[in-house]
Amino acid sequence: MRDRSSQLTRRAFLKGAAVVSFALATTPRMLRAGAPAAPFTPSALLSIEADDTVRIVIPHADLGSGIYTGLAQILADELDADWERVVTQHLDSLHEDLKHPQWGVIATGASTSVASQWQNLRETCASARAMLVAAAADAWGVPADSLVTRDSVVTDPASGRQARYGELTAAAARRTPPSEVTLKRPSQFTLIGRSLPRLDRHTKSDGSAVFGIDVELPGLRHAAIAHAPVFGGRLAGYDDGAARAMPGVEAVVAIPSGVAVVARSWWQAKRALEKLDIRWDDGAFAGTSSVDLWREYETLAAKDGPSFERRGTLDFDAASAVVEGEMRFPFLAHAPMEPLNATARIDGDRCEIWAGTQFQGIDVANLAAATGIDAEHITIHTQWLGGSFGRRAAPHADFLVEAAQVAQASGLPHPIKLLWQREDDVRGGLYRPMALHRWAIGLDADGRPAHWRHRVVCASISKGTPFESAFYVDGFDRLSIEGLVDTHYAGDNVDFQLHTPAHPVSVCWLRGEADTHTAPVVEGIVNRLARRAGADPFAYRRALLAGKPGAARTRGVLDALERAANWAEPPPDGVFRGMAVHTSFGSVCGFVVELARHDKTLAFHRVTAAFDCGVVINPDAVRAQVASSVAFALSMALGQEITIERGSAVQGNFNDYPVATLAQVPDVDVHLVDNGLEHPTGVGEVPVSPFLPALAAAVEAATGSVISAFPIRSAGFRWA
Amino acid sequence: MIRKLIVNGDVHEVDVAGDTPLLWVLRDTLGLTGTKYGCGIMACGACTVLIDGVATRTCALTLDAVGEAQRITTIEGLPGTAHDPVQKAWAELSVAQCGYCQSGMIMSVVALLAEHPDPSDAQIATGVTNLCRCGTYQQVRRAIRRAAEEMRNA
Repeated sequence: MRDRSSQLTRRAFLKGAAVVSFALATTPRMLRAGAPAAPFTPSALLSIEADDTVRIVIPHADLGSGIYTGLAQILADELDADWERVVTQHLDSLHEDLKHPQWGVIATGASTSVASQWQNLRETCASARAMLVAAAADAWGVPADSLVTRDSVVTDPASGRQARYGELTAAAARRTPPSEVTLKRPSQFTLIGRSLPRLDRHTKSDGSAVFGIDVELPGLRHAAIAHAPVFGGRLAGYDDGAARAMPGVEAVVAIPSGVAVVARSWWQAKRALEKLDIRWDDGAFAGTSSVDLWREYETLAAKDGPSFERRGTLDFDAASAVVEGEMRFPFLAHAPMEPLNATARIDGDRCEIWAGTQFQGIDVANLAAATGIDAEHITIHTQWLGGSFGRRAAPHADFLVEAAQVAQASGLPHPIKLLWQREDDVRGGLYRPMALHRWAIGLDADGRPAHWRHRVVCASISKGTPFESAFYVDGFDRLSIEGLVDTHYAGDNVDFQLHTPAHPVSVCWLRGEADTHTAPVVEGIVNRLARRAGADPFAYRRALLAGKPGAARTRGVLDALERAANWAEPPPDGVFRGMAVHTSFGSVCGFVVELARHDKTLAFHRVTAAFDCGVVINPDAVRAQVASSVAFALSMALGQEITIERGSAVQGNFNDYPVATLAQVPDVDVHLVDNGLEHPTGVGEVPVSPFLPALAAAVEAATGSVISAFPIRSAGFRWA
Repeated sequence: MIRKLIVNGDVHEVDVAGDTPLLWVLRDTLGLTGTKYGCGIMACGACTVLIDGVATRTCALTLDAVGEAQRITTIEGLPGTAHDPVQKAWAELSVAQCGYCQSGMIMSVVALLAEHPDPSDAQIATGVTNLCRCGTYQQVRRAIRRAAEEMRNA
């Protein structure tokens, strides 16, 4: 990587620092003698305090991937800060500096936290470091470029003089930020690229980490809520006589999405909720079940729909053979371990929220619209969140809005913590959409896809949300087709179509997003075409990708994966294998899955992954994401499915919506691949999608079946 | 009804309805929020504590079912990441991701290692059935082995 100068154009940065420049009349020695200096806060992201503490406000939610540590590594590295003095802090303001650098709003999603902050944090810190160095240079009367920094100390090598950052804060704060900064070269990195332990490792191992559900405030009250059981249903009326007579109950309130009980404790609220006599207007969807939805999807898949990608001319008559197939995917609930919750306090025209959320900047707008309270008077105090996988990136901020509405409707002056029951979450919608893919592919003489017609049937995630303008482009929701629209496997003649049915079951992004269905489909197709052609799946892919410049990283990952998994060696007797590789969120990940078959029982023999996510900030953290993504994907592959019966979700808890267990989840041998990218790309969601087709291919090899639906039902086989 | 509860070596007097699950007494009455609610049907293990040394799920275990002489240990009652071999291994290997299930996971592992100081893979698989939606199981297995080794060498 070259030495890079970067123009600081960010208005926010200039705003955050004092734009006053005058020569320093004081020296660090004099500073030491005086009162503790004010912190140097060059940005809302960063504060350097007189005791050398480097305080970092993380402008994102950490869904578990470890971005608090990763972002702190990037920041402390460029700042040359003492890692031992780095402290991270949750976000609780909506300051300009904290906005997502690409999205312009405070939000977390699409595996972008590290990738999008990479340049921003380094520029911020390079500038802050330059101001600290300039402060020391002025005090010592030496040129700034003669000084060096390390572990929060500025040193003048010529004289041996040193000043701690904490001693320079006041002087640095008075300086004008430089108009240009020079960022470190990779060879100068001291923290980036190291497997440093997570900064949250202690509080998350001793029970002291405060999640949204743990928030304690003076006078706190608790609420439980009942939602309409049928999607699209509405409250028709209720009798709360018995509920109000229950111990601890302080209020029963109706809000647009249901009825809530407020009590002294959550258990009291839940017990009283059971005593409510609620009448629901189920609405038109009450007659619909999954079988009806699938019938509608099948009807759509049987006919042409609008094309989102069309090139060349489909001519199946010209093909040497035509293969057809379909694959279907169910609704999936996120089911984060911490059930959804938020604490709200309404004080006249002010609203305070305590919650784990991915969408602070968007939540505020939703809260303002729902409560009528001015957005400037709404504060969100971000808490640790017990999983999310996209669920706490709620386009309409449902659980936050409900908490605020309950607090408002109760008329109580107390903060109220609204906690959903697990069933509220699993039955509550915002699912990964169900999807049906159907394709017909005409092959050329070499068995390669020359004419590819593909139909996707999938409801829109973004339509009717604040994200419609971003994702719903030319009549197509990108969130239905990512991972297919950009495939490099297709030949010259392509017609990719999308049907967008609508139903009251709300749908949303879930870890891996559309790629959780497009990758199993596309990779599944390629695996079958390779098998049909009698070709090795690696070699077949290389042939399809040859000469395609956009596929260079994929080729690199294929090479690394093939080596790492010893693919050239045939598997031992009784071991069957499958592979897949997929690009999403700017990264490329591939898997080889090897299954051992004994009679009619399948067990994991070995799982190997190769992953190119660009610059790796913390290798162990990335490996952990790959391994844990396999667990997440395995839940999808082996059991999870939300089905609809008479308008309601059938599954409600972990007994019928199973999460893969320790006994089921294999170890994963992860190989990080360097294809020369000079910046980081997505991590947390990427490995989920390619694991699914690699597993499916191994199951097909082991069982001789053809998988056309998830979860995988391998007739006659069971898992060890 | 006021009754006695021994938690982390302290005797508490609580005035809570007897049909309240122990989990909510720990969390809302005693303020010990390290023990988590995940499912309410004892399926996920986020609410695991030790009762007389036995890993026990508490989200559907009523207060009435807990004896006044029984000794309850929650995550807050363990010695911490500097001293407890399980917590130490957890911190050293950065096991936790979102971290929500880890209190319950750690309590299950403390009980497992008390029974099986050198657990086999099968004993780990059957002894730790807590759910982790992030999917930290590979690190959990590594941390169990590291903690077991440290305990044996202690």
